[in-house]
Amino acid sequence: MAAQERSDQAVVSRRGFVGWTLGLGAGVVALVAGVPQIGALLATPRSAAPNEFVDVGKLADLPDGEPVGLTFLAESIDGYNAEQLPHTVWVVKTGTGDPIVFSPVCTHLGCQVFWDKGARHFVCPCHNSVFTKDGAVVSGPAPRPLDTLPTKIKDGILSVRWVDFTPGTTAKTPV
Amino acid sequence: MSRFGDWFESRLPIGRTLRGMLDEEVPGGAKFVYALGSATLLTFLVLAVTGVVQLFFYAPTTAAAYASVNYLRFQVPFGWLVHGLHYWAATLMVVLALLHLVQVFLWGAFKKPREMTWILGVLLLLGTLAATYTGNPLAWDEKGYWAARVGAGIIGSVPLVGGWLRDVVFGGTIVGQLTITRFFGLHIAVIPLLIGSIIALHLITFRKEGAAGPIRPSTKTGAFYPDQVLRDLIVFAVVLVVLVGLSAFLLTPVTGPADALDASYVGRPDWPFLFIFQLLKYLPGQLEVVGTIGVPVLGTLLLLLVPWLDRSPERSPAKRPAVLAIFVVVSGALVALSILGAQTSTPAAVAPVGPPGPTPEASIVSTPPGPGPSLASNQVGGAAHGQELYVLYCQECHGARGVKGVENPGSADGEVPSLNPIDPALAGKTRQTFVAGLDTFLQNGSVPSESTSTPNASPRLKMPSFGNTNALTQPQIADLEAYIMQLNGVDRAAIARPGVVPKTYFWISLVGLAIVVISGSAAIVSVERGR
Ligand code: HEC
Repeated sequence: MAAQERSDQAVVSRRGFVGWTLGLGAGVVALVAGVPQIGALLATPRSAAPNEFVDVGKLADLPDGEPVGLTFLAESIDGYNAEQLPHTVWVVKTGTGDPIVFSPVCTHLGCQVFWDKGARHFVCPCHNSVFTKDGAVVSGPAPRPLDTLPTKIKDGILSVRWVDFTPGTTAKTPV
Repeated sequence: MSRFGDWFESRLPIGRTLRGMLDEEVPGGAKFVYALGSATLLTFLVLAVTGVVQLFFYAPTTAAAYASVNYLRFQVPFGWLVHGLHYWAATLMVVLALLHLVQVFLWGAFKKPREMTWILGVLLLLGTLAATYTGNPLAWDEKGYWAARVGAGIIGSVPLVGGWLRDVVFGGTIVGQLTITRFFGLHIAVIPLLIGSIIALHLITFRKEGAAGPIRPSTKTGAFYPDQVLRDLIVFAVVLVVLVGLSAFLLTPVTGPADALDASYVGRPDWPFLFIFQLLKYLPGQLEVVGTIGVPVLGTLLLLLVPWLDRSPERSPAKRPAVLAIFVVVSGALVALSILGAQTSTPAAVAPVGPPGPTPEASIVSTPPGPGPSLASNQVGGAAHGQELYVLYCQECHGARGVKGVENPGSADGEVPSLNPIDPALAGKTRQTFVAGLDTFLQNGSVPSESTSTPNASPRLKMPSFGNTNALTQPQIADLEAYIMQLNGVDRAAIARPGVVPKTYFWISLVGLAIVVISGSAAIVSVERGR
């Protein structure tokens, strides 16, 4: 009776051992083969190097006190495609001061704002955010003023660096 | 079982199904050699998983395919491993399937009543080869592109229906965008679905009759679970070690971007097709179709008919001398042809230009360079092919391996600059600056500054423009750039974001999988003792 019980126990513990071995083995095999797959899928794309400054126009050509949209091509890396993408910026020159350059991307959810000449406001067509000529929010859901872009002036030529900012937040953070 | 477990099982009987699948007798006892079939299945699963992951990165267009594959390999963490596992599992699947076939053939396990299992197995081998073939061009690199070109030629040479067949499979007479799209559809949907379904049928017919067991009847017997399952597990661990090791130590080759205009690239087929490649060399032109179509079709038919060609119930290879002899001759011929094919040397490089002298402004069609970086500088070139191109186009001025340029009277330096080592100012600090520096010279050419000691002298040699004049294609320039970087110890195809460094990942997985092998062996011993 005692011997029988002992051998029964041995069978049970052997089954446990075999089960554990198979479970562990299958687990390790799945991990070794699976971790890289998941790693590759979940990895965030590397943030691209900052864009270069691109000449957008002569200072002398800018109207005084009236926003103008300037379009230029900037080299951009989109995944594995290196492309020249067009960008439009709103440039506001007042008096003799340096011009302010606004990104056209609405700080609410990323639609493109335009300058409404009649109303003398920047307006976002998506959710009706309205901004002053200086970029301040007048009305609508936009959480922060229009984003300004880095500029340089050399020999009377204005150049701009395109930056994407995260929309929808009160803080202005580059993407 | 818990109440929840019971509820579940009564509605979705996974446990019962699984037990039904595992509960099988293995006549003659479990053996490691019986794991060949399961190991082939494992490689198929690895291919399926890594294939799906690659779908999240791959773009099936002639413009983007190559860049998208390289993006995965060099810019995505673990991308090198995803791509490497897919590449090496494809190779290993063919190897294991062949070994499995040889095993079943020699041991006479295909004989009545297992003919259908054999036929399905042969179809699986064909499916695997089709997947191998259609996979290569998807990378749209030199190797894959030329494999597609040659394949299109072969299929086009089929009597009567060839042209039509080629147009259907390759999407037209030229290998291009439609070829990629069609091969993509075949490779990721049609072929894997066929393979998967045939695997299911193969397993059904296999389970219907059970394993053939040892040749000499033995009283020993084992259970599929746990005896064979434990052995399969150990074999799985070993297969995975091999796959990760190959991926980590033999990074998949970079053959350069596909280039339809590059006559200097020597295409060679993937290894399973090398024997045909070699065979073609012995056949006169008008018999070509015998080698490309006749031999493979006939071989396949004979393979399918094996159960009827070798009909005696005798299974021992020793008692089937004729069969054994045919096997030795055929497989010996295949192996010999493949080895000869693999050894084919590159034909001697033929210099397209004469001895160094004042360069005629080589010009074919001149397209003004567009804005921004050139196509070449955005593509990862293949250094190996770059070396071949270097010998053809650059060596006469820059010297062998770029070590010492030839004399250049009239120039300030007195000789053509050395490219190995290259001027550090040109190379800059990063891979990007290095490529950009080389690219300026290769695209535009350059006239050396004049010697100050001899007034009014003009340099005898100048750096020709290769890109702007289309004397070389952009893919060729990319390959040359990769080669010159390699001469200077810089890897154009370096992995920017490995996730875990390849070799480190190998050692980590080796430890894990070694534990699996050890505990699996211990479990086998304890099961045997319990008998
Ligand atoms: C006809 C002779 C000739 C041939 C052929 C030639 N080069 Fe040159 N290469 C020159 C000369 C001369 C210069 C120096 C130009 C200068 O100083 O502006 C040069 C400069 C260069 C440079 C810049 C080196 C430095 O340190 O400034 C690179 C890179 C280069 N060649 C690469 C190549 C490659 C790659 C090939 C083959 C595709 C090639 N060259 C073929 C003559 C040649």
